[in-house]
Amino acid sequence: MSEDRISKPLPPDSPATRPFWTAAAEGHFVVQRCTVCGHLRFPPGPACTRCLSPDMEWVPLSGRGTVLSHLVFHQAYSKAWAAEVPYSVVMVQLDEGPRLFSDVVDPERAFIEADLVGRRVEAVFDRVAEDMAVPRFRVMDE
Amino acid sequence: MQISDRTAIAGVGATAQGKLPGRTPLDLGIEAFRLALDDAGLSRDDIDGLLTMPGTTSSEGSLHYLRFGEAAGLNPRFTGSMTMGGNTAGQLVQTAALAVAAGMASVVACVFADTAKTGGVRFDRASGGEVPWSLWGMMGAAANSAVAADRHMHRYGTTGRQLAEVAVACRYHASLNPNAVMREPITVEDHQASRWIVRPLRLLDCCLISDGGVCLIVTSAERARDLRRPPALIAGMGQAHTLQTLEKEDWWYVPHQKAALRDAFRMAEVTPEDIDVAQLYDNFTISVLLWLEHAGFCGEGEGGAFVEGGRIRLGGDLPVNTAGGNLSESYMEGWLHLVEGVRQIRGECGPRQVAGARHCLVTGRGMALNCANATILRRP
Repeated sequence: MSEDRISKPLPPDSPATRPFWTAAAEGHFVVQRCTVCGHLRFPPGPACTRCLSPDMEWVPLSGRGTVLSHLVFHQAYSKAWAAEVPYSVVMVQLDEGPRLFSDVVDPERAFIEADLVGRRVEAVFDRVAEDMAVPRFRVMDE
Repeated sequence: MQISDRTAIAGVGATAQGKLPGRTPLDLGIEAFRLALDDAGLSRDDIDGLLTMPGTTSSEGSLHYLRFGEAAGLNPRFTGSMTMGGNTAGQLVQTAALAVAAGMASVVACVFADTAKTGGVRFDRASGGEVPWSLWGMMGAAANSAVAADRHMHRYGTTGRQLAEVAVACRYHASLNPNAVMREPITVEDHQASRWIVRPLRLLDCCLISDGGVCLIVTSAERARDLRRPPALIAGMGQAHTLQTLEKEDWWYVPHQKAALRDAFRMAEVTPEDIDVAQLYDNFTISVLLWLEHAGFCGEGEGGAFVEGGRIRLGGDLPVNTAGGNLSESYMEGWLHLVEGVRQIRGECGPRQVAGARHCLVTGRGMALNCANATILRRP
């Protein structure tokens, strides 16, 4: 577990989302795939957002994507993040389709003044409990 | 059913704004209600509809109408509470208009009050449900609009100095409004020197956090004609919502706003050229650019260039947020935008009056960019 994760809240543990966190602990970024229409959905939900079928399977993605938006938080909105500011948050377009927000692994604060939009990123997994990890993103070399 | 011009906002009430220690959302709401009744020349017993938005410091949540009705001595035919953030004001006024037009109520009070300033409210909500974005530090109202600003900048070349033009115009208008909280004029350089909140948004891109109360009274156009003040006819109404976020690729561009505006223009049978003055929901400066584009005042991606050169200031082609808006008047989550719209239509705005204003566009937007509405007010 990396130092800067210790103070953060744990992911809410619900049966619907647990596979996402446990797969992350095994080094995989998984999403739900509708077994009727094939749509990959994120965040997890009880039905396909395209065809409403409840039938699904968890499938691993590459964990790679491109930064669509790069924000730098200078304001801390919770105590858990007070020691982190300024920190980067990125909206990532995963190669397989889904999008998500994540923070960026940046121990040297190298990206605070940078613009990461368009940069390639890759998921890394930050263990927060024995069988749970939170995916974050590492900026890949250009 | 023909709806356009059948209903009107007949009374408006706004309390003092800013930091009001010792006040509660309930007593501010009651004061605003009394002010609106007096403005309209109505009495409490004329009210048979009550729609409310709980403030961030109101503990009742969606049961707020119960507490407010009890405190105001109201037993209405039509009531309820709604929570859609900055979209709520317009949505409730439109709901009131529909109820009046349908004969389910004759005079509806719409009420909001909050003590977010003295209550220390941070507006730190995170979206994402069971996978909360806050796990990655993605929280707070500013962050969602920061995505919109960042995407807009990358896609269309919009600059921070263009965002500043919105803040400068709103502050100039607030300097002409004795009830505004922030009245000291600012420059583009002041904006550029203000600290980052969530890059690319700076402090002066952000709305205030305020205490205050607002009430609007909606009735039929026919009845409004006989009341104390000239009516502001509700000529056009539109609503649309993008409830998906990450799954909707252009969520950040709030594409639903176009549909809300299109419906409002269509109902009012006017075009953007007919709009004399606009009150555009400005939780953050970027929002004004998006409204201008979606309403058709300029093309997609052209909002930044549009606001340059004082175009949205009084005296410009399209004065926007003539009372100062959320950015400088007070953060009443868009409720004061409707109040100012009514006052412009009545012609009672003094030094900030847009001469001969006949049509005012008022917009609202709430939650994580999700909910939007547009209302067109018309002078009879």
